[in-house]
Amino acid sequence: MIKDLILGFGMAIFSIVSLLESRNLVSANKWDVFGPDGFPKIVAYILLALSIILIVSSLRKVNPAKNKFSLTKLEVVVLLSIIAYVLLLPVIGFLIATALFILSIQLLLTYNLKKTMISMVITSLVVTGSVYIVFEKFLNVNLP
Amino acid sequence: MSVIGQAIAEVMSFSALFSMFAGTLVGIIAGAIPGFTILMAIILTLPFTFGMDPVVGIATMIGVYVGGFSGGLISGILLGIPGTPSSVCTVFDGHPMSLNGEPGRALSLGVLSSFFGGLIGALICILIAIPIARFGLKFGPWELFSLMLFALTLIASLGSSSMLKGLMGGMMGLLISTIGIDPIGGRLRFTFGFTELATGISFLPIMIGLFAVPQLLKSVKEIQEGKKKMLSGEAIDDIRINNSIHIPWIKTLKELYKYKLNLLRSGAIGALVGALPAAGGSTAVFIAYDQAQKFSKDPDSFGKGNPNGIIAAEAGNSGVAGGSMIPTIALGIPGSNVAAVMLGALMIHGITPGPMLIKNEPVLTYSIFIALIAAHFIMLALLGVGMKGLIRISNAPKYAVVPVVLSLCVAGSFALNNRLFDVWIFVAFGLIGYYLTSVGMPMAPIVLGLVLGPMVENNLRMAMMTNPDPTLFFTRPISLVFIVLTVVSLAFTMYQNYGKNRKKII
Repeated sequence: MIKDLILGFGMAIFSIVSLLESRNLVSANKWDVFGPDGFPKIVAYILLALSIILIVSSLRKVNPAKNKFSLTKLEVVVLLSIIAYVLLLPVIGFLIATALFILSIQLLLTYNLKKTMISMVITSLVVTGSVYIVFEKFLNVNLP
Repeated sequence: MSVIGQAIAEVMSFSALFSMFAGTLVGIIAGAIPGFTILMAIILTLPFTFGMDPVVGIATMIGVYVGGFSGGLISGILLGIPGTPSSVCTVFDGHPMSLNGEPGRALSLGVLSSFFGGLIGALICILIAIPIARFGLKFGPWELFSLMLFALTLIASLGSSSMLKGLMGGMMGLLISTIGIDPIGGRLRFTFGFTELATGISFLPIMIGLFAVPQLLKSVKEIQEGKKKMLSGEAIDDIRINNSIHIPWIKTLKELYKYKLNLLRSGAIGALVGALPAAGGSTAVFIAYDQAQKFSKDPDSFGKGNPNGIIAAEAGNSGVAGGSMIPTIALGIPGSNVAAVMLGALMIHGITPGPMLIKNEPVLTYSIFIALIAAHFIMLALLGVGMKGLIRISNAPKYAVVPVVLSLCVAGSFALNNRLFDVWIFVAFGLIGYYLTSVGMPMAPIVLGLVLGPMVENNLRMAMMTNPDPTLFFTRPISLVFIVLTVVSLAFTMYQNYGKNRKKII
């Protein structure tokens, strides 16, 4: 299956990168048989081995299932909005960014625009407000 | 004895009780909203507990845990949609009973079964945890290492549909946990020049990202499907719940007494299955339901509104809360996903879980026991009084829930260290989690690897430093037992997968 193949390669790359990076680490010495590089290396090797098994077995698979990794447009938009939201946080501050975010996602997802408009706006404001208050006052967290 | 007294005092203090009330309420609400899992609720509660005393913090999280398991029954019974994965079996008999005109009876059966079942779980936990911990005190680094290895492979193999991917996930988690300062040597690892990584990646944003984002995007897909149906003229299941439901509490209590055997058995099953590191709420519930059906005089009526079905399902899933805390407290090995998060919470508060926990932090340990019991009473009270309101909440529209939860995730990730970097970690792992989930990799082993990683490594290195002889892992009896168990569980799973379906070894 193509999905597994990609996953296998991805993991293999991940483990190889880890191994390469761990060369930069100091090696073991007399007292510390493992050293800071020991454990990560072992784990990376295991992961590499597992990825190779995955790659091999997915190549051997008889059924060429076309399970593509499909993302619907809506999901992509949601994901991008999350990224945009986080990018905007330091710029326009938590209150405004969050209120806008909640409102826009609701707009994207709601069934019936006219009926729910008011409740959506109220929700955005109320939720943003309460989260802000709880975090700032009760937990002493300084949101951006 | 004075330790118990102190523990009671701490848990029963006003601030602790208030927090627990809030936590339990949050748990129930989270459970009542389909698409919002208990795991997400606990993960999101974590940031709130930072400023709290560890005892209060853990007690609150226990409240969420207990509340969560019970909240799922509301939408399960009334809407036929399980509020949490562990309420699936409650739907089997709860929903038909509700459709038959007895929603109140179903609801009360569910609530009371949750209450008693959960208490049984808590009781079993209290009785067994300490003796196990005493046994665990004999463990040296070899035993601890092998034990954690066993736990990791158990979760990877039994707890997921693809053993290979589960193991890979576990390894990935372990690797990520090594980022930061090496605990023994003190040198930086894998920081790639990011100063923020010097203290390691905090596992909270990773966890939030890995679990919440895929789950929420799933809800988005469901919304999309609902929209499509609407546009093509099909009716959506937009059921409005009639608010005038009468709940016969006393009558149900009597009914429960009649079926007390089922209640006790299901609660115990929940607790014992929950105590196994690989199995969580959903597994326990199915086993309890199945057993109840087998023991019943009228097995065919299951699935059509047999009260025993509801009792088994709810007692079973509530027993898990107490049961999963057994290995968590006694050995430092989480009994479920949620328990893994709680382990992480302990570590954030600077407490190292493990067999030493009871010795080092007796007040905390006993507080957990007391909180387990107290939470159930709180849950009963809240459900009893607030049922009408909760019914409304379970109607909460998905399109509102998704963005609200997302913003909570962002706020929560930020709150940990007051820095935006953690929020980006959340986003990054949210994307990674979404990708991995869609290719069939389970998230639980990754998180377990992340949480246990430091301890696994430490024990390995300490063992080797104390005595460079690697065969000790095999010659020390307890360690050997765990290693054998590890191999057995791997072999067993491979056999199961290979035997069942030759093509599907992966």
